[in-house]
Amino acid sequence: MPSTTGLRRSNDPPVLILMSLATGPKHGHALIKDIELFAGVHLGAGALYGAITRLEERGLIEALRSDDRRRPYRITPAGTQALASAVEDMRKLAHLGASRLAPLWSAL
Amino acid sequence: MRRNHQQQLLRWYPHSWRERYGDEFLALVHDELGEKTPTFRYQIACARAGLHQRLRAGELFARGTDPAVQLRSATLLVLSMWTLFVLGGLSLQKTSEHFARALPRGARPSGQDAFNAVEIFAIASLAAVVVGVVATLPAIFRFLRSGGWLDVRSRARWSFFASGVTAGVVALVSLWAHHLSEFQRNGGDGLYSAAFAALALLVALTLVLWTSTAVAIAKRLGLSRSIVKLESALSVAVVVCMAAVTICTGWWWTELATHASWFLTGAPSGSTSSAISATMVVTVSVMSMAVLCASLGAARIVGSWRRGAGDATPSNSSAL
Repeated sequence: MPSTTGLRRSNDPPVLILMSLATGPKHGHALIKDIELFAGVHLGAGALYGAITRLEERGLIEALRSDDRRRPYRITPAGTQALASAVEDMRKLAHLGASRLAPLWSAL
Repeated sequence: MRRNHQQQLLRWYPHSWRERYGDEFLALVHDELGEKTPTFRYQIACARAGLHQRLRAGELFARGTDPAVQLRSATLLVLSMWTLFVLGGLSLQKTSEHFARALPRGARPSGQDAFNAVEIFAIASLAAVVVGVVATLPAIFRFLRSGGWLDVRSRARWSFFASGVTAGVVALVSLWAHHLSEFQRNGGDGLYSAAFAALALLVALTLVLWTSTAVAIAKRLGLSRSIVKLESALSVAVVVCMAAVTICTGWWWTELATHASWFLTGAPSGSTSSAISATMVVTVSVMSMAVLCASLGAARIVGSWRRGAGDATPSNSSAL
C-alpha cells in the first residue's frame, strides 16, 4: 500500500511528539513523560530535541514564551493536519494488517 | 561539577543550535538526571544527536522541504567532494610526471590519449566550478557588504593563513628542487621526499579550509532560485566530469600497466613489476569515493528537479 507518510512508524519521535502536543502545550520533560505513558517509548534528550528541531523548522510546532528555561511547545494548524494525515495512514495500515490477519485467526 | 558534566553534552551541537535550544536542553537533562552525571550511554546518545545536528547545520545533508534548500545542500556536497577529488587529481599529476617517456614508441599515442582525456575532463570540471563561483559573486559581495564577513572571518583568516604558509613552502621546495637531480626529486632524496609529503599535506589542508569557508559563505548567501538552479546544473556537470576523469584514469593506468608497469612502482626501467602501486590504489580510491559521494548529491539534485519548484509545498504528512 503506498504511504503518503513515507513509511513512518507509529513510534517515530515526530509523530509521538505531535500526538502528545495534540492534548495541549508541553515542555521537553513533560513530553517525555507523556509519550512514555501513552506509547511506552522513552525518548532520550537528544532524540527529543532532534525531532523538536525538525518539527519547528517545518512549522509543525511552535515555541511559546516562557520565563522559565523549560520552554513549552504547541502544535500548529499545519502540525495538526500532518498528524491527521499520519494517523490516517496508520489507520489504513492497521486495517490492512487486520484484514490479512483475519484468515490466520480463523484457521487457528 | 556534575552540572559541568551535563553542560558538556552541548559541545557536540553546533553553535547556532546551542544558542536556540541549549538552555532548554540542559533544563531537560537536569529534569531527567537531577544532579547525577550522565551515563556513558546517555552521553553517546547526545553525541550522536549533536553530530547529526552539526551535519544538518553544515547543510551538506539538509533535507528541508524546500527544493531550493535541497538543491543548495546537494550542490555544496558536490563542491566538497570535488575538493576531495582534486586532492586525488594532484596525486595523479605527480605520479604521471614524464610517463610518456616510459612507454614504448608504439604505445605512446593511446597512453597519451588517455591522459589527454583525463586533462580535458579535469579542466571541464574546473571550468564548471569557476563559472559557479562567478555566478555567485554578486551575492557574495552583497553578503560581505551587509556585515556577513563577521560570521565567516575566523574560517577565512585560517584559510588565508594556510594559503600564505603553503605559498612560502612551495617557494622553498621549488628552490630546493632546482638544486636536485631528477633521480633525487623522484624519491632518491629522503629529506626532499619528506618535505614534498609535508607540502602535499599543507596543500590538502589549505584546500579543505577554503572549501569549509566557501561552504560557510554559500549557506549564508541569499541566492535567487534561478542561480541555485544554475549552480545545481553545474554541479551535475562537475559530477559527470569527475566520473569521466576517473574512468580515463583507469584507462591510463591500464595502458601503463600493459606497457610500462615498472614506471608506476618506481622499479628500474624495463623491469617486470606489478602495476598495483600503493600510490595509484590510494589515488583512484580517493577519486572513486569522491565520485560516489558526489553522485549522491547529483541524484538528490535530479530528484529535486523531478519534483520541480511547483511541488515545493509537500503533502502535510510527508512533512513529518
